[in-house]
Amino acid sequence: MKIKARRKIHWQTVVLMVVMVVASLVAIAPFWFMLNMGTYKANELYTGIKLIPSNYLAQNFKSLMTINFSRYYVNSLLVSTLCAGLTVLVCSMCGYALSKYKFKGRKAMGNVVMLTMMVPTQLSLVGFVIEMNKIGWLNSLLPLIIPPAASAFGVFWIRQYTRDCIPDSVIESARLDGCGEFRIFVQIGLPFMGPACMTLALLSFLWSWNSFVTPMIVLTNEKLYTVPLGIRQLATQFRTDIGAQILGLSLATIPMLLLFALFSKNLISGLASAAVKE
Amino acid sequence: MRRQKTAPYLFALPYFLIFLAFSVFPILFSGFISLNDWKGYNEPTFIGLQNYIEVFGDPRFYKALGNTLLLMVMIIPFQLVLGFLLALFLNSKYMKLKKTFRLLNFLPYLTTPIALGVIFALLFDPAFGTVNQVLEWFGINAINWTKEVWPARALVSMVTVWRYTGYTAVLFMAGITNINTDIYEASEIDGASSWQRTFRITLPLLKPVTTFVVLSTMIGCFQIFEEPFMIFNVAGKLVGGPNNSVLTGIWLFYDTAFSNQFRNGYAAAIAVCLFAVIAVISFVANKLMSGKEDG
Repeated sequence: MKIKARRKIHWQTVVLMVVMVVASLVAIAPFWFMLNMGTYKANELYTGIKLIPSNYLAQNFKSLMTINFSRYYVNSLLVSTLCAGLTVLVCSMCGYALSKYKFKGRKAMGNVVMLTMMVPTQLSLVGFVIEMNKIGWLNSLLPLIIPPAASAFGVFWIRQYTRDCIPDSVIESARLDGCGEFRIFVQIGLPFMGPACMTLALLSFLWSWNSFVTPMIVLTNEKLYTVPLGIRQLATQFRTDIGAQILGLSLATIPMLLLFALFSKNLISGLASAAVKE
Repeated sequence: MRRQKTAPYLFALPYFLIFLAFSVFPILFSGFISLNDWKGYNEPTFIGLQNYIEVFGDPRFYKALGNTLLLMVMIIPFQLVLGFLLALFLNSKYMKLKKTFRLLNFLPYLTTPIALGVIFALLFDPAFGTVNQVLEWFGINAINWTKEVWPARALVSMVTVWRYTGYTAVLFMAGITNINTDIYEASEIDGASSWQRTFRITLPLLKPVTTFVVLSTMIGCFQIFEEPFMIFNVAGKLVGGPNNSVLTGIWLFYDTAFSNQFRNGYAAAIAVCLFAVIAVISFVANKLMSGKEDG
């Protein structure tokens, strides 16, 4: 199919493109409004629809910096990065063990992982908060980094991927050469699992970045706030200064959009196949 | 050889340690708390099933269940149909720029739910919001999105559908790609129209994906919280929206446990009941949907 005889435009293409353009406009319109509204002076926002940017960006940014917004940013970056790293480490080891070894309890472990994927975690929050209080983790960032690292989705996803991607013969021959199990995992397993780990890292970064309920109940110290808590803060402190408030929203959303625009190629299809294969 | 036997356990250990400490324990602990009168600051007193009896007589609990069912009915059909159509179009051989369009439609899934709530509250503001201004061009009277029962429900449904349609489409696309192309080729030779192919081949073979989407959306409806929480927070601190019309399961739970009541014991009982309802509903839905397959 490499040779195209003639560039002929089908009527179906035209119809489909029109439909898709409309759908995409609906999908991105709120982003567009958000990005624009962040460049307006608050009282201008009450009149008319804002389709083009204005000139108040710097001012809004200044008022945003009067609260610790940059600090929330640093906190969020720290939490999400550490959480993503730890998730990949913990889940890749577990997923690798479940797919590449035969051992007693393997099936049971796999079933437990599958089962927990179905349970909405919010429902155990009462017990979680009291536990955090008892072990002195309230008002620390640890509850946002360590508990989410045991991601059932992560194990499931790595296991599924590893099963088809690492040939057993490679592992076997490394063993015959006298390579230790951990070294096999690091030097052979991880490189093979690279793409799956990348996807998992991005997703857990996203989930961590967007997480709101857990930070809200474990953090009361304003210095530790993450971006979503900062946004809630904005909504009350900048009740009248909507321009600055919306700029805050834009700043919270942009990193995710950039990250995914850069890495979307494997990510979207990877995410989908994980869910569908089930 | 001995190392080879212990290795898998060591590899799986960190996961299961964290899982036991921070998932299993809190669940069991919540179960225990639900049998106590506990406000967090006082000492717990064991009261048996008292909290559960109160849940069964609590009108707000039934309200939350009812709202969840309504939201399901308002969300699932749109999300399914729009997501499926999007997937069909994106998979069509006539389509150009597939990847770009897929990414654009996927972007809503990436937004911070809490930011989404604020943006939609502003866009749908009854007085100066963009949406009402556009409606006015078409001669439609301003709708009081945040102050009236049904508009509030419609608003929450729209936010959810907007956020998840692209994601649903991606799931369907993966499902469609998995369908063996031989089937399409054979049907084409047999002279099936593209309508017939869509309804007779694509749809039936996508059943597992559809089941997955419906089930996860159902579970998701119980958990809708951040977006309405912020929408009605911006619109004047209304728990549950106007007349509790968008009070969802998690919102009720959150409000009881952490917002102003701090009734930990009672909230834990609500959580257990919600979990039971979710489990039963997903089980029944799963049975119904896979049951149809045999017939």
